[in-house]
Amino acid sequence: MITAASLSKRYGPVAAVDDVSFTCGPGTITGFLGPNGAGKTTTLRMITGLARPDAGRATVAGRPFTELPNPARVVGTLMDASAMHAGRTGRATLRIAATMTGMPAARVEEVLAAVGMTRDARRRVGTYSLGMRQELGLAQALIGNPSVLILDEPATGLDPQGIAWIRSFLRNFADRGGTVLLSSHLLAEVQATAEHLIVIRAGKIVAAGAMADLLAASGLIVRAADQAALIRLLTADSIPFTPGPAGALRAGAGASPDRIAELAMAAGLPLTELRAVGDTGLEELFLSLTGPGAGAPNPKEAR
Amino acid sequence: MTSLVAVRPASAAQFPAIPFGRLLRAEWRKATGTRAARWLLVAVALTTIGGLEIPLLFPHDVAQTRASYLTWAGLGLTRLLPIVLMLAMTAEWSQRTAMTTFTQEPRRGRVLAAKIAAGMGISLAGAVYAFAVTELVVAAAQLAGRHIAVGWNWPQLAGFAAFVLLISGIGIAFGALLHNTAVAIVTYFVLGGALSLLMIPALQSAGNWVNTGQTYGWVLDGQWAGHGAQIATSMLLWVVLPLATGIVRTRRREVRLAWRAGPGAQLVQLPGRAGRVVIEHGNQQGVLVDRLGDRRRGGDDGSR
Repeated sequence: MITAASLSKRYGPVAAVDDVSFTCGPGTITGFLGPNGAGKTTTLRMITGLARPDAGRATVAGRPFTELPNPARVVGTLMDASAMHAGRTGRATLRIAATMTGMPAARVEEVLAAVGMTRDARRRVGTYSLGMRQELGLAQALIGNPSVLILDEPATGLDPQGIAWIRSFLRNFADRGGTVLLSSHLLAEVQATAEHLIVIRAGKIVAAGAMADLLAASGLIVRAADQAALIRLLTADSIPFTPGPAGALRAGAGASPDRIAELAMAAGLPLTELRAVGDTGLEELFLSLTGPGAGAPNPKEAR
Repeated sequence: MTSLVAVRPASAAQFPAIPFGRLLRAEWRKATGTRAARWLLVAVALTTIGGLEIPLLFPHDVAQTRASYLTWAGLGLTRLLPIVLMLAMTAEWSQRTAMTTFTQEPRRGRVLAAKIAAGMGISLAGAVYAFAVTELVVAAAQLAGRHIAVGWNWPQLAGFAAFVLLISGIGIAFGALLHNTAVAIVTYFVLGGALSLLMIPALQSAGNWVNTGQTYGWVLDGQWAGHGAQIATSMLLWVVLPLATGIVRTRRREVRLAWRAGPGAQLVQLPGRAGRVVIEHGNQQGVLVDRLGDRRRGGDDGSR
């Protein structure tokens, strides 16, 4: 269980995080999305006690992170895979984590085997590729046997096997009651893994809720061979639209596919594409919420 | 794999606070378990033995007493051990492991106390090692016929141990304060060199209070009687004050993560700010980013 209540943080004149609130319940995987610089990492740092919020409060398992007596037994974090001492071996890194958390040495071998790093563990972390560091970071997050996972871009640098492994591992983890908050830029992966979504842009949340609901509510893609005629059609009926992908038009949320089809038929205009944005996935939803054409942040909730 | 994580309802209270002993053990491993630390410790071991060659090979130029042998043995130790301890502090920031350390134990004061205690332990172990090697060499030299004055001079022995601890204290304090490995090491040596300027007679009276070369020298020779105030002052200046400031700084400092560039991001230096601001293309907001010593390239495509 993770809660954030009105978290805010400014750096000088800039509001990196502005009144961010959300809840992640047990048994769920929540994808945390946003462009670089949107405040994702700052929010995660505030939740894990690495940065102090200017306002607001965050709790994990009911308590602020800094008040957990032995945090790594409750919440595993993977925030920056390159944040490891290059001069230490993989196994030494995990043994230190095991000592801190109070886990037996056997646990080190267990997590190494699970991420497939047993053979490489005796080499120094400085010799690892990015994917190997990610895997070691994941092993380190799991070493305390936590019930909450906070992962910042865990699949970066992983090969397809690794990505598939994480996906099934996280699903399994959530199915057994764990809470996962994961931020990622691999939108296809997030769509396949997470069932809840939080989108942040310029420090504010622009979308939060169940993935299925958000994808359903995000508008229509309309395409016709004669785009000019289509534009006249939509304008005449006061249907708001913006340029869509590959020359199509995106009709605003609330536009009804039936209405557009009727209008087109009445005008004798053949439509070559008429579908919900959500059908081709999270990427379009994300770009529509956070791209340059998206306008001012306007929080939109879906239950 | 299903047994890898046994998820249970999150109840933080069932996991008690990390006992200080475990923190200490972890910090000891951290301080000694890196490539840099291992090489430094090997160098300490070798220079201890090497230093003893001097009194052995030059019996007419070097006093043949146990205390003198011990001083020569401690030469490498007292220059290199503080570096090891400095690294224990600064590596958390230059290697960015602060993120891991302070999520495993958010109470940074306890972590620092463990680092200091581990540092003192490592120093003491170094002093014992130097003493043991000296004893062996002295005994061997005596067996070979060399005449060495072996009167036990307890103040000098205690002074040696105290000296090692005090020197290491400076290393720990500078590491705690300066957070950057290169800066800490350079400052340590430059200040040490600058302080020795205070040995010239005109500045000697001021130097007696401030110059650790002088004050710690009294400790090393076991001649601290009458110099208590001066020794305490130099300790205050070079150990206590930097350490206290360093503890405050470490506890307050925000832990940043590696910065990854998005496609439209620009890096802009805001006047008067210490860091750089990332401005997303078309977006007037930005995020202040700390100055990072080494940002890794090519992180996004999986290569190093």
